[in-house]
Amino acid sequence: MNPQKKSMNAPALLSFFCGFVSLSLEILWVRLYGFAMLSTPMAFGFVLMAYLFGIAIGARQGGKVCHDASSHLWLWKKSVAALALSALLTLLIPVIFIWGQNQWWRNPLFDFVLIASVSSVLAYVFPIAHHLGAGAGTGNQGQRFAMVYTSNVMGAALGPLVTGYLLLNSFTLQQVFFGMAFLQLCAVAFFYGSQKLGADKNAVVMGSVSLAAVVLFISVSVDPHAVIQKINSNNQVASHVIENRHGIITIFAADGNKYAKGDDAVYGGNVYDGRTNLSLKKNTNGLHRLLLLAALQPQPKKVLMVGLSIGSWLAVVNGFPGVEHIDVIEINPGYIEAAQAYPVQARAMRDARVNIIIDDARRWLRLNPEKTYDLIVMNTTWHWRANTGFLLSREFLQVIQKHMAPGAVMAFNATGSPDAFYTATHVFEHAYRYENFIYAADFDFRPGKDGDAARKIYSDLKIEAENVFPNPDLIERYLNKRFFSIEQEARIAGRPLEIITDNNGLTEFKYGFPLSRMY
Amino acid sequence: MKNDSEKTKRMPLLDAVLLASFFLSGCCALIYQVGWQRSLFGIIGVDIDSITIIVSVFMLGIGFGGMLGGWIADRAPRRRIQCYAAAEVSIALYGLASLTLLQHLGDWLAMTGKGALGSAVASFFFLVTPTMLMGITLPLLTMAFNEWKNSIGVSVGQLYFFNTLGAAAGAGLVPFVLLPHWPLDQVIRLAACGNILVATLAIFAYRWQMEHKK
Repeated sequence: MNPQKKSMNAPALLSFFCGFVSLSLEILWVRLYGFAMLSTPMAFGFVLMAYLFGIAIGARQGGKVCHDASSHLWLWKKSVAALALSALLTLLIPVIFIWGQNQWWRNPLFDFVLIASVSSVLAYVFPIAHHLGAGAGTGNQGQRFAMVYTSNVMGAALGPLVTGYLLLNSFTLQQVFFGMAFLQLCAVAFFYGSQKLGADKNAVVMGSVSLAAVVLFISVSVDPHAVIQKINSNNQVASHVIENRHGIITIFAADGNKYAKGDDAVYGGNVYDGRTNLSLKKNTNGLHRLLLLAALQPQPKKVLMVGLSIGSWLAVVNGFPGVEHIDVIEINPGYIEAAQAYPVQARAMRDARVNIIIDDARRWLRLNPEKTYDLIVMNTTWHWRANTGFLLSREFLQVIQKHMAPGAVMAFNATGSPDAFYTATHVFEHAYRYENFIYAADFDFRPGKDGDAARKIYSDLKIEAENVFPNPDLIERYLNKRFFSIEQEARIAGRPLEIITDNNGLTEFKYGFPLSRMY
Repeated sequence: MKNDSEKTKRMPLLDAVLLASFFLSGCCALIYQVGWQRSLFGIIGVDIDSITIIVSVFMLGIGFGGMLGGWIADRAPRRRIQCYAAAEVSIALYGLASLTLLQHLGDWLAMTGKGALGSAVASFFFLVTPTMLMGITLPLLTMAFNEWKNSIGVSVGQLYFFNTLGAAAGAGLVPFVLLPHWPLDQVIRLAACGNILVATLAIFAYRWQMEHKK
């Protein structure tokens, strides 16, 4: 009996399903491995390389099976067995990966093999499905082949839409892994049953469905963030985890008791992002770098903040004298949810002068060319993280410059990149470093830091009616910190500095965080 | 008997040339994917909306190309390798033109103030042609291969193996080797050179095949 006669589209359907699950798992692995490897751009390349290598090996083995195939029924059985194995690996490999991350011998080869094994099993089905769909019969073989191939690619095209966009916005990474295993077990039942692959059809179908139900039950019974919690970069357990399609935010209460209660640490994509501290006495989040802007631009009516994080800096900016309007552009709405737990930050977000926009900053600024600001502040994340170069590049700083009103000052966190500083000096007439922050404008703003006016502004600064500077000593301490020029920076760097452009992604690739440092 | 012996001698070389070309083709495709994705991020944004649009359009283009490739393979059974070479040359030309196109795309989006929908449409039109061309290649080459392999599963398994192995190499080369040394536009030009080499190898294979048929 030729099962193909019963259901002509079954190979195409099988191919579609494998394409969908394969790309979905790739998305999940990019997220899991990317989280473990601190969101470096190399992490994405590594997963892609390992995943594609696995696909190549799987397709090779699948092709060999077609060569030895005795019948279509036998090939169908092989395909369904591969689906069942893939379901098992979908659950097992992330567990092994996480276990491996905490071993002294952890190495890239181990991770490579794990990721490749996930994709290889599904890719094994790829040539078989083509053989089943296009191998037999005469005429239009090319089109029959194309039907199976296109089904596979269409399934893959749905991966980012369904899994990356929808599922990861409603479920945690761990739950979606469970979901993929569930789907594959259901597919085992479906294809085994519909293709009548053996006398034990009912037993296999019932067994697969039962296993799928068990997987579903476990997925709702265990901590939905257990996977993430095991690979937090600070080796602590997060008190709050927010997972959505934009990424993973983890919050550590008092940073694992390293700090006082109320000084929680916020991590985005497993790297430090900010703190909830609002006290200059503790100043664990370098608030003085933001406060300096109040001295450099004493009357900032309109303020733009690129990035909200937990909202601590917004609460500080709200207290700047003369502020009438603040636009905050944040790419991940999860931070708004996270900040609700902190009363001062939550009230700052509800301030009538504050307008929070969920968007990509560059796109939003392009769409709103008429907006100009007196102060622009970007507490940019680490310069080596994936796509951070787009916020440090000459092109983006030029966009920012166009949105600066006369007398405006901008500041961003260079996170130690001398090239980010160098780039700013090539866009603005004046750019100087104060600790790891770069302050830039088209006029010399430095006198603003040293005059008596700055002391007066500092002493008047308040967060919700409470003085920011509890004593004059702190004012002197922070105002006495000096600006560094680019010439001084070049001497410290000890190498020729380079301009970051959209085209070179300098901070991510050439001077980025090598993956080898994670092993 | 002599013909059969000749065939067995010649086919492995033809296999090797075509498989090498398809390895390189996969490598170039991934360089383009990563390169164009990064370029588009700079234009339409780096949020999940942009990532979803770009990856989906990439896959859709390859899917449509796959359909077209199957259709062409049936309509032009004697020119499959020629068509494959033509597709590779077209990808190379598009790759070279893509740098200018991307610049115009960015200028157009900035000038017209197009939002998310505009960005999606722009990405679609930018990616659909080259990805379709990439999608065309697998059915064409599989059908060509199958002329002497006589097993679709074996043909596609072998070709897909080399193509995806090349893609894996491309995926690793971009972040670990190419971008740390060269800017994105030069990396894309390098991929275009790769496509020209692929086409050259394919033409060489075609001539070999024709000679053998004579």
